[in-house]
Amino acid sequence: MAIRRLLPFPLRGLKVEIGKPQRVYTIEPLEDPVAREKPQERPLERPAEPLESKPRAR
Amino acid sequence: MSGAPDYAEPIVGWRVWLAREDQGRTRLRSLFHDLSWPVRAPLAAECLRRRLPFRRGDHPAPAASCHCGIYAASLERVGSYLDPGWQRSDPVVGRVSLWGRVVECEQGWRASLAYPERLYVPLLNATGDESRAARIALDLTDYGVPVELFEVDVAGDIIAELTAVAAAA
Repeated sequence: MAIRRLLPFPLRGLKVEIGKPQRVYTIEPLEDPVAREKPQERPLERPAEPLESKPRAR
Repeated sequence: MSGAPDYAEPIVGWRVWLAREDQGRTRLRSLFHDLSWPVRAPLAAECLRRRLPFRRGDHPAPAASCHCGIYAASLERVGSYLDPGWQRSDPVVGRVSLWGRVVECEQGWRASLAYPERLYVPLLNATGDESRAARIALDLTDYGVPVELFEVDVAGDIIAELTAVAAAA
């Protein structure tokens, strides 16, 4: 294991065997497959309240 | 490669990782490379053969003529890499999205970009440490994808169990 860590390349046979290449293509997903960090939401600014919300009752 | 992409949906295949501690948190580690999968960012393939001395002809990974790229295969195929002895090694099985440049092979794919899509952490009833498996599963939620803990009696049952889970999903 220590030797494997030192090597900058995979030893022959140390990979999943998936057979011979059949075709090559490109994929550009419409939706990002990465669960990226959501930007922190800014705290909602409270709308300014009117000085007098309703006429005072006499 | 230039021009319009051929497809707009990522390939989804299966992989096996090892759960490994990295800076205090459990991360997905590749089976055959000392490589920790990044959190919240895609893993980008790089052909490691170019680091060999006297090796010419750098190419973007994956190349059909090489063995480079990020691998994924069918569940049955990756199951053969779940050696029963690995129950001591904290295996993690999961679905992975592949995109970018993709080399489709007879029994799987090699791609330039990848990110986990769903992770399954096996808890072996016979020898499993439930709290350890639960901690691994919790740490792996950092990837921002669904993580499931599932019980199996022996390591050899992992693929059969996941096949049933995948069929039900």
